[in-house]
Amino acid sequence: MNETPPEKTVILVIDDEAQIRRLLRVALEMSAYEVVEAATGAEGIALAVECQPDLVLLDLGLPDMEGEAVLKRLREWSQAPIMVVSVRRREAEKISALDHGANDYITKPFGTGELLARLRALRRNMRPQAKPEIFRSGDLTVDLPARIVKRQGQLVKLTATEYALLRLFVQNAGKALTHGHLLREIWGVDDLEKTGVLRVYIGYLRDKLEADPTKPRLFLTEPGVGYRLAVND
Amino acid sequence: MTPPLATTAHGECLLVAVGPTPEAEAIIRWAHALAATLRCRWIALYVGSSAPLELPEEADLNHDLDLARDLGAETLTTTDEDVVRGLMRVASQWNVTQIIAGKPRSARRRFPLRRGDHVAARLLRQSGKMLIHLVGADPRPRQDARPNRNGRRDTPVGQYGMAAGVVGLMTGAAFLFTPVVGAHATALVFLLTVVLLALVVDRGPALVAAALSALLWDYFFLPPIFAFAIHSFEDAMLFGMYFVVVLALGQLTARIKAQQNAERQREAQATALYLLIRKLNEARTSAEVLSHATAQVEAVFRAPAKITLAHDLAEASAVVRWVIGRGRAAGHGSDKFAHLPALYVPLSSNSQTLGALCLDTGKTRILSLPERALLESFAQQIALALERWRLNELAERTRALTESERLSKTLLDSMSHELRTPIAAIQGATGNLLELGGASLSNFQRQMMEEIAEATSRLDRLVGNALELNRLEAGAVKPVRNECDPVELVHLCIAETEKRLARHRVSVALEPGLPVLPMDFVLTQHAFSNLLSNAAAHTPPGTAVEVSARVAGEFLVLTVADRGPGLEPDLLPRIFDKFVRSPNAAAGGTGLGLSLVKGFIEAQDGTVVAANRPGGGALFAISLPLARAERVPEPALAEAGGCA
Repeated sequence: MNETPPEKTVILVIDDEAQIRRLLRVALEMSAYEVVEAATGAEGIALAVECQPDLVLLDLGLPDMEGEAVLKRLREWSQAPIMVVSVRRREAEKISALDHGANDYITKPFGTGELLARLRALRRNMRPQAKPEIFRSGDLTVDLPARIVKRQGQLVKLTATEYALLRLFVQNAGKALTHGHLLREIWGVDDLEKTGVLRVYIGYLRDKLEADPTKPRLFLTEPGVGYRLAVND
Repeated sequence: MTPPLATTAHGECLLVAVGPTPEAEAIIRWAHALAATLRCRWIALYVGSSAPLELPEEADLNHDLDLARDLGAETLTTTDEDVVRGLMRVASQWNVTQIIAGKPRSARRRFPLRRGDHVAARLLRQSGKMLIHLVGADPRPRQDARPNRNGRRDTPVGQYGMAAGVVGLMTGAAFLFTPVVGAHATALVFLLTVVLLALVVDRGPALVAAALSALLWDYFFLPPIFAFAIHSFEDAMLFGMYFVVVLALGQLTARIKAQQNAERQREAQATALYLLIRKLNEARTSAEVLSHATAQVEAVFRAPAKITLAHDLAEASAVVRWVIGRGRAAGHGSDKFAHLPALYVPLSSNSQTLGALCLDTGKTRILSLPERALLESFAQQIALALERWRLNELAERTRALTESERLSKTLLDSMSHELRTPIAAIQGATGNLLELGGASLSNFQRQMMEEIAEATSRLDRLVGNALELNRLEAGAVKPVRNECDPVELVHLCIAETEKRLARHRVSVALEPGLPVLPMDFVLTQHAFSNLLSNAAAHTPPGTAVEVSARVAGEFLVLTVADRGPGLEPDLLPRIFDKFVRSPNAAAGGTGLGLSLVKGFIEAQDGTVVAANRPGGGALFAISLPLARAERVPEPALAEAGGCA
């Protein structure tokens, strides 16, 4: 709200409900986004090619094609962050959307403030040139090039696996990472039965980096989906 | 029991040679014990010659092969004049590693020692790397009281008459031409007669004809005629040679004929089996399979047949139930229910007995060994066809089920979309006004907007709960029970309801060392958060809310206890029913929350109970089974994790 994007950010809204599009337009334009609207998947893909949006808001329940198909088509050539907006709340669908290239997932109805905050986080992280070399969230500082992790200015020692996991989170800060994605990236396994190992390592990271490991503020659990590294100011 | 043909780790395969001998049963049992010890497959083989068996022998053999089949052997029969050659041929075809045969018997038949030793010795010589067991065994007591042993196979008396008649006619004719051609040429004519005769009649009449012709020739034509006496050495030699040649020829011809018969029989069986398979493949419904199969069996065995399927056993007879239950043959010509006038064979596929085939042979007819083998093959093919149809129907049902699940999901998705879109619009509009246009709103406007926002979020919760309950009742909620940490769950739920419980004194008591347990994290979290929200909604601010997690027996118990007004005693039994709300409950509830809690927990084999606490307040307890639970962390996996 109070933060204005440095340059005009073009956001493509793909949703079949005209009323939702109008409301999103009002909210987004008041936050100085430039809004492009599409009512169908096909129109959305065409507009994405034409306008090269910086962000995409995609509804999964489109009349002409499955939201996941739109995701796949967009991901074939575009790296723009995609936020899925859906009334579907099943974890399996969130996981599927995230694994098909969505950067974040928000269920309808949602608070305007929450949507704008999530969009800011996406924009901050997905523009490599604007990405600070040093990641800060709350009292956590991660210097990826120097491999230095600090909490409240104090150096924290991490094992190799813990660091690999943290790096993955930092590189995708603010984004929900699915169990399957984390297991594949860090352990190279594709077996959700192994979620226990992941849970143990998240516990280690929380013990070392959270102020209160029982009330995590950084490594948030996305129930049934995975984990997210919160970007706190 | 080892399934037939299953390959075993060490690739052993036993072959037991079965013959119509009294010891066969004991040898089969010995082989079964050995196969069980070695955990390997085993084959019972009968090597028959072209000569047909005596009926009692055939019955014994049937009995022995049935026994071997019941004990888990693959039973085979083959035809070979040389027993050892037949054994070795089958042994090499089936990659047999050990052969089991009976020990040569002594002094049972006239020349058994030589012949038996001969077979055993040749078997040992030719067996190469195979291990040979020669087993001595007690002979089975003969059950001579068995019925149906009257010799159906006896050569008709007519054939003997015909043999004698033909030889007599030739003798009469010979009186006419012997004076012209001489006695020696007559011998050749007799020879020809016997050979031709042997092509028509059985072995016995052929031998009788041979002997008779030799004697008649000697008596009537070999000088001195009308006497058996032979004067010259040349004639003696001639008579001797004639006798040997005619016997040998008769024997050989009979054997060729028997082999031809066997060949013809095999061909007929192969054709019958082929026809059956083709008919079964042509069937378009499972009912057609049954009718084709029955018709084919009736045509081949010339007896009425009937198939009973395992799933309509209700009106089946005891014998059919026994056959299907045990997967063994019964009835006429077998060991069980032998008094019945029909034979019952099971229709068994790999996994189960699908039905029974009843062949109404009548009291007097007993199936020969090849016929029994053919019937078994028929039963096997019919069972395969039935199995195929059963699987087809199963696949069809599964497809229909998937389709109906897909439909209900589509319906729920579209309902969810239709109901939530307007709610999202209202919430978006109020949100935009409150958060973006905040400064320009008057106090009254702001207050009204907040009322709208609150009502909207309540409506959203109601729709969400109703849809969830719908999914639950439609069976669309499928718990995914991964190992989860109850501590993480409790903390997450408390964090989630933090705002609503901000004015309560929340205390958390977690038993140390809580195990991870298989549960659906999302469902449990919904349920537990719901209980916490309930506590917040139904108790006055400033009161205590106590959360605990502990292990009790085989269960993890999560409790939420408050110090509010407690639950109405008359509502208590119905507290988890739909739309049950306390009359003095605060606004904001949906009446569905507790039904959802119950549904989510019971979907994971857990239970949830409600009670009033001594000293006031309500208590809700969720119990989840700890099955497969283990302590964290798993060191082996944690070690394997270091690959950064």
